Parts: sequence; structure tokens; C-alpha cells
Amino acid sequence: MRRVWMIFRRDLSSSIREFLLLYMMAAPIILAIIFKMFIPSANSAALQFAVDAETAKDMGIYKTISQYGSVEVYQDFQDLEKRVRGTDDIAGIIKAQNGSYQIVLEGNESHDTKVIPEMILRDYLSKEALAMTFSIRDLGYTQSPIARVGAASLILTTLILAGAVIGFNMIEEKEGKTLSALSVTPMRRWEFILGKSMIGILLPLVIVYVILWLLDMWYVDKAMVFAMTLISSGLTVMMGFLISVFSSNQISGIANMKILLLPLSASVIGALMLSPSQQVFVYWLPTYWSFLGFDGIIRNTMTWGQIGYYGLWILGLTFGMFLLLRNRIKKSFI
Amino acid sequence: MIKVKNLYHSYTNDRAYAVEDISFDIGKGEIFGFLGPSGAGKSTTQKILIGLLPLQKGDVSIAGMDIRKPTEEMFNLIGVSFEQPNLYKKLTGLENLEFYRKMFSVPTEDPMKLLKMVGLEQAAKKRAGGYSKGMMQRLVFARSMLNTPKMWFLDEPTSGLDPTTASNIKEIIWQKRKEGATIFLTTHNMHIADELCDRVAFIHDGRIELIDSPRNLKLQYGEKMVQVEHRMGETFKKEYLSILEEKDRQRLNHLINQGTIETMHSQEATLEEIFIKVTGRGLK
Amino acid sequence: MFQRYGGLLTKDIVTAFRNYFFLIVLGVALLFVGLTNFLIPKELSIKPAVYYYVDYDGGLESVIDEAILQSQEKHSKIQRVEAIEDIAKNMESNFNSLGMVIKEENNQPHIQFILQGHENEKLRNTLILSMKDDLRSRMQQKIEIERIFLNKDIEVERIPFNLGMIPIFIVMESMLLGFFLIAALVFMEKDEGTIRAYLVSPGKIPEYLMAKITLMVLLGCISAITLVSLTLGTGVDYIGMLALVILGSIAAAIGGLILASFFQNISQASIWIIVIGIVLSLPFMSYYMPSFAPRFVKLIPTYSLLFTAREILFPTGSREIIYWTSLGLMIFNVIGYMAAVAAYRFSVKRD
Repeated sequence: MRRVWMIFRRDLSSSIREFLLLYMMAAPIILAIIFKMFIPSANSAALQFAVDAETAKDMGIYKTISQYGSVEVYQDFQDLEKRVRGTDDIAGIIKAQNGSYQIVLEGNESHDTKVIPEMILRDYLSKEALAMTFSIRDLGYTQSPIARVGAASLILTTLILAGAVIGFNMIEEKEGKTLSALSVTPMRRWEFILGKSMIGILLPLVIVYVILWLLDMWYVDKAMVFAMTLISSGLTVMMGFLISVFSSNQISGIANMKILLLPLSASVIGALMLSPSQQVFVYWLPTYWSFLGFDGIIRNTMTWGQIGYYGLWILGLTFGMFLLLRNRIKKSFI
Repeated sequence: MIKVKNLYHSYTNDRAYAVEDISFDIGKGEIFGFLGPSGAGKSTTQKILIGLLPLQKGDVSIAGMDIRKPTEEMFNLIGVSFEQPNLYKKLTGLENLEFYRKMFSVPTEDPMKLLKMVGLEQAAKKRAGGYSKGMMQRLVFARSMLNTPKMWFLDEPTSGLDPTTASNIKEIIWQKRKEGATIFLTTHNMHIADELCDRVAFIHDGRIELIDSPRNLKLQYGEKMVQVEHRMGETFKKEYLSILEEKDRQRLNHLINQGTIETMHSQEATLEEIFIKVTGRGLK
Repeated sequence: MFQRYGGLLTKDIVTAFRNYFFLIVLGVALLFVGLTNFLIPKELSIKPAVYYYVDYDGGLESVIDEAILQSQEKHSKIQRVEAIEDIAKNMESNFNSLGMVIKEENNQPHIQFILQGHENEKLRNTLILSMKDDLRSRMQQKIEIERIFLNKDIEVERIPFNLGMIPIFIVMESMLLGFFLIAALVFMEKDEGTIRAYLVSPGKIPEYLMAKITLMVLLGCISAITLVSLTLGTGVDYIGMLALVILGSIAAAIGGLILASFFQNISQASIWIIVIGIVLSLPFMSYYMPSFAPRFVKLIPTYSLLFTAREILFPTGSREIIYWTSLGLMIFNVIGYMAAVAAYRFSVKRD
């Protein structure tokens, strides 16, 4: 254990000296702040409409349209046309000479932008009342999916960053041949692995809370966050080893990291986009389970039973991959 | 060929100079040895001369060209053999040279010929990453000759080489000098300097202590040196004492009277001994 | 100058090849081809599932039934439940869903929507609006609204979901790979010390950087051609696409170079490479929801790149974006290249 501590101390001091530790802590926090600015606009996302000054004078239609989206006013038709031709989807609404309304579109807009302006105008122009009433209530889950998914992805990013740092730390030892010096000491291999992984295990434990706090998600079950982060550090460590085992130098390290990021992002996309029956395809990715775990915790629907179940998957997969790579690790490090 | 006047350099941009008030001239076709222990300021000076460090204070010109404004012409003129082997590890020895050769806009040597000269023709098609330390050293040396430099910088060209290879390298340096190259040789190996150099400069703590030819130095210090080995408690201490200097003579007398002397030789001073004498206690 | 550039480029290509860069780029492109052609569905709707409960048998029953039936034909995730409580239960297990209860109130049908809670006011209004519009069209005379299409002559087809992802791959992989990889090459040469050997040769920084950027462009083109030819086949504007990939990869490589110049080693740089990579992927949201376009998202360069790539591969007649993006990239490339040269003049001599 003393040797584990020594390896950890060495890594820690070299990380501090090279600003790595600072960067590792700052990076997810900066991302969280950027994301925090992003959330409100994503949450209030609605359709966009452009009207000309003439139409906007009619407060009735202006107010009606703004119930359904953001409205921009343009001086004349030319300006409006220019706006509609812009990259994003926006529907123009103008009043023609004969007093009827027209919708101006580019042609490549998505379905909603094409049909909803029509609905608005029909509703506005309709004289006959509809013989029915409508109301809305909600279940009280005010946390938007974007914030939730974003927070869970950010936490995953933190874990991966930590993994990348462990990986590059180890490549450095490989390149500097300091590993051969260590392997002629009584140090055992597991001590080395544990020592090398310490930073990657401890650092996310702090940053995860900072992220959650920054994103106004302090209501979460802190003990569950702790457990999930600790379990997920298995994948941090694995990421570090995958990068370093397959890379003889830093340059192939970067290339391997680039490849590793693919399945990682696939796990998030898979969890979001695939139907439950298709999600089997991403079961083999520990990041998938980790993502589900954090997502559930932020949603406040997680039970300890589920954490145990996801944890088993994460640790099982991580352990399995270590077993698969056992010989490779032996060969490349000692 | 090279004129250096009042050269100063500080890494921290203050008055903590790594090299201080260095001046020397190297004539065309001369081998100039730049001698000193590690950290004395040798490589700082060399880095400034070859343009790897900016010139902060002082004047340096190579073949009449001010190095403040390095031109292509100047880089075509110089060759540098680095001490730390810096090679493209994924390229073969030959590829390394073929690549570097294309960087010059003057006629260059045939890489294969150079590889033969340094005894690497067998390894020409092997990747440099798989070379031994000595092989890398030789490849770097060969690379520095590609443009048949008029001004050739050699940084510890024989360190880590076996005696046969080292003497081969020395031969090449002699040969090049005969062909008219001016050579700036940085080393802490006094034997090499003694054998090769026309003149040497002793650099210590960022300053040049003296510049002279090895021959003159030996005439000045040789035969008047006594090497004394004496006991100091549990340890032995070696001292070089000059019988010409009053202070040294007194020291010698003191040691004899003390009766702690183990061995004592009078001898022709080696460059190394002179260096220790000069820098260790100083001429001033 | 050209001889040196050629020499540098050859060296960089050989180095990249022996570090398996070409293999990796090709492999990733083929992986995307496989995903696009076989795994990602052609139709993927992110529309929410609807759970509804009907407790109404008044006069408008048939109208409402018909409306729901027709929606079900278009949208398979509409499901009837037997008890009101089941709606909440189902919605809790599927967060992309909403509920609907149809009851009678004051002798009129009353439709209550049950939402998750995070939906904003405008979205809620729109939901009611579209339901109203559907029902109204069945009971009243439909009011026709005239629509003016600015790009009349082009028949815009719906892009299948899987093919719609190709512009993302082109931008994220083919163009941005230089952003990730070029730093690695520079740091390797710093490590080996070969950059010092280069600096004492007549070679200059602009040529050195130019060769590396060229390599990234080459890799980008290989990636893009592999990807597009094996998914979209021949009916695509390859010249336009390659022009964009070339300009984009140059920009990405320059960005990577400038970023790397701030750091001493690759571990430090890799953190910020990942961070910027994530920020660069924010505009994907806008790509899927084109009406979501806050100003700061539009300022992220990948925003324009994504839509430009889409316009080139799936033209809709909005050519302007292509010209503007190309012009922007060209200006950036010229200024960025000069900045990179200045940064490297300073940073390679620093150590």
C-alpha cells in the first residue's frame, strides 16, 4: 500500500507541476459553465417567425404569433426574404395587398416550420368557435431533458478526461523507460495499476459535485452520486489502460484516444436514440451503463437496486476487458 | 569565420546570465574547441550561434553575416551535429538523410556515401527508432555533413562511441578540416580537444577563462605541475600544484611536512589538469 | 522552396503512414459507412410517444376517433390505455412522451394534455394548436393560406435519417480530424528533437506548417471520399464537397496548430482538444432542430459547416450559404495561417 501511495504521489506532483491537474479540473467546469449558458436557450427553443413591419403593426396577429414562437420584425419584404434565406429555419408571415396573409418559406424547412404558421393563421382567422375545450397539466418533472442529458454527458466527459490523463501518464513512463526501473523493484503489478489510477479515481469524485452544483442539480441524492462515480472510475481506469497499452508513443496515444471516443459517444447516442429493444447493441459499453446511471440519478428515479445492477455491468465489463488484455498489459509494461 | 563579441544571455531575462561577456574569433579552417563542464554555458553559446536561441546582447556574425537576421544562405553554410540524437524514429536512416537533404538549396552529398563513412551502410534501411545509441549518434553526425558545411558545429561528436568508431569520426573531422571546413567543437572530453583542436576556450560559469592552443597551454603549465594524492582523514584528495607559483609551493611544503602524501608525480600537464587548475582556482 | 515542401510532405506522409494514421482514418470512415448503411434506421422519429385515455361518447366521438386513428397511421407510438393512472405510469418510464385524456365537460368534449413538466409555454400552446387545427379541419371548412416558396424550382426531398447523418460525419470526422491529429505530429517532433534539427537547416516555419496541413487535408479527403462514395454513390457534387472538405480541414488543422502552440506536451493539449471538440459538437442540436438557432450557437464554426455540407450533398437551392461559408473559411485560413506561423516562430524556439 505504501508503494501505491508513492506512485500516486509521484503522479500527483508531476500533474501539478505540468498544470495537468489544474486543466483537468478546469476543463469540465468550463464546459459546465458554457453548457449552463446553453440550457436556457435550448429550453425555450420554439419556432421562429419573421414578420414585416406592416404586419407587425397589427397587434392582434403579432401577439398571436408570439404565443407560439419568437418573432422578429423586418422593415420590408427584402429584409424578410434575406432572413428567411438564412441557414436556420424561420417562417415569414406577411400581409398581401389584398389583405390576406401569406407564409414565406425557403423550401427546405422542417415539417413543423412549414405547417404550424398555417395552423396559427387558420386559428387566428377562423370565425367559428370550436365546440370543445382544452387544458394542460404536467407531472412536475421540470428538469429539461437537455439539461439532464447534458449533465450526464459532462460527467462522462470528466471520467474520460481523467482516463486520457492516466493513459498519457503511462505512455510517458513507457517512453521514458522508467517502468523498467520500477519493475526491478519489489513493486507488484496491482500496486502499479492502483497507484496509477488514483488520480483518475479521486479527481472525478470532486468534479462531479461541482458540475451538479453549477448546473443547479444539487437536489440529487449525493450518496448515489458518490457510489455511481466510484463505480464508474472503473471505466476511467480502463480507458487509461486501453490508450496506453496500444500506444508506443504519445502520437499513437492521440490516435487511439480518437478511436476510443467513438464508442463512448456511441453509448450516449445509443441510449438516447435507440429503441429499448435496439439498445442491446450498446450493452457492451460500460459508458452506456454509467450514462444511464447518472441520467437516472439526475432524474431522481434511481433506486439503490438499479445502481447495484448498473454497477455490476460496469465493473463486470471493465474486469472482463482487463482479463482480455491481461497479456498485452504484461507485455507492454514490464 | 565566426566573430563573437560581448555575448550575454539570460534565460530569465534579467541579470542572471547563463553566459556572460563572451568574445572570440574563429578563423577559416580552424578547429576551435569549446571546453567546459556540464552547465558551464557551452550549449547556451552554441544554441545562440546556430540560431536556436535568440541573440539578446552582443554581436555574432558567421562568414560576415549577422545572425540576428538569419538568411537561407547562412543555414546553407552551417551544419550541426547535436549531442542528443534527434531523428525521425519512424523513418529509416537513409530516409532521414534523404529528407534532410531536400531542405538545402546548395549541392548536397550522397546520403549513402555518408552512411558508409560512419559505418551505417548495413543499417541504412532500418528505422532510426531501432538504432542503438551509438548508431543514432553516428547518423546525426552524418546528417550534419549533408550540405558539406563551411561552418560545422559538433556537440560531443564522440560521446558514447567505442574507441574504433570514435577514431573513425576523428579521422573524418580531420579530413573535413583539410577540405576547408571551420569547426566549432563543443565537448567536455579534453582528450578529443587535445587531439583535434587548433585552439581551445575554457568556459566556466558562463565566462571564458582563457583561449589558447593546447600546445601553448601545455608549454605554459606542463612539466611544472605536480600531482599530489594525500590523505584527509578517511578520504584521499588529488591536487594539481604548480611549482612556479608561490602559493602552490607553500601548499606542497605544507603537505610534505604533514606527512599525509600517498603518491606524488611530476608530469606534463594534460588539458584536463590545466582546466582544473585554471577554472578550479582561477588564474586571476 | 517547393523542393523543401515536397521533402517535408513526403516525410510527414511516411511518418503518418507508419503511425497507422491512414489506416485509422480509413477504418473510421468504413465504420461510419457500415453504421449508415446497415445500423442507423432510415426513419427515426424523435417525436414523443402519446398515451391516451378516452372517456367520452358524445356527439363528436366519431370525429375524435377518426383524428386519432389517422394520426396512429402516421405515427406508430400512439397508444390507448385503459385507466387514467396508466398514463402517468407509462410517461414515467418513457420520458419522451405525453398523455392525453378525452372527457366530457359541460356537454362538450374536453381534451386534457398531460406533459412531463419541462415543456415551455410556446410548445404547450403549439400542442393545443395542432390538435385544434386537426379537429377543426374535420368539422369546419378549411381556410386556405397561401405559401410562397423562395426556391421554387427545386423539389426538396426528405433526407432519410441515416443519410442525414453524413454531413455530421463529414464535419466531425473528415474535417476535424486534423484538429485532433496535427497537434500529435508537432509534439512528436518536439519530443524527438527533430524540430531543432530542422530549425538549423535553411527550412522555414511556413513550409514546415504547410506540409503538415497538407497531410491533414489529404487524410480529410480520403475520409470524405470513402464515406460519401460508399453511402451516397455517384449522384453527388464531389467537387463541391471536396472543396469544402479541403477548406474545412485546412481551418481545423490551423486551429489545432494554434491550440497546440500554447502547450508544452500532448497531455496538456489533449484536455483542451477534447473540450473544444465538445463545444464544436453543440450545433448538432440545431442540425436536428433547424429552428433552434441561438446566436452563440450560430457563432460556433461547425454550425455553418454542417448546413453547408448538407446543402452540398442534398441541395435545396440555398447556394448562398456555400459561398459565405467558403469565403469565411478562406479568410480564416489566410489569417489563421499567418497567426500559426507567428505562434510557432515564437513557441518552437522557446524550448
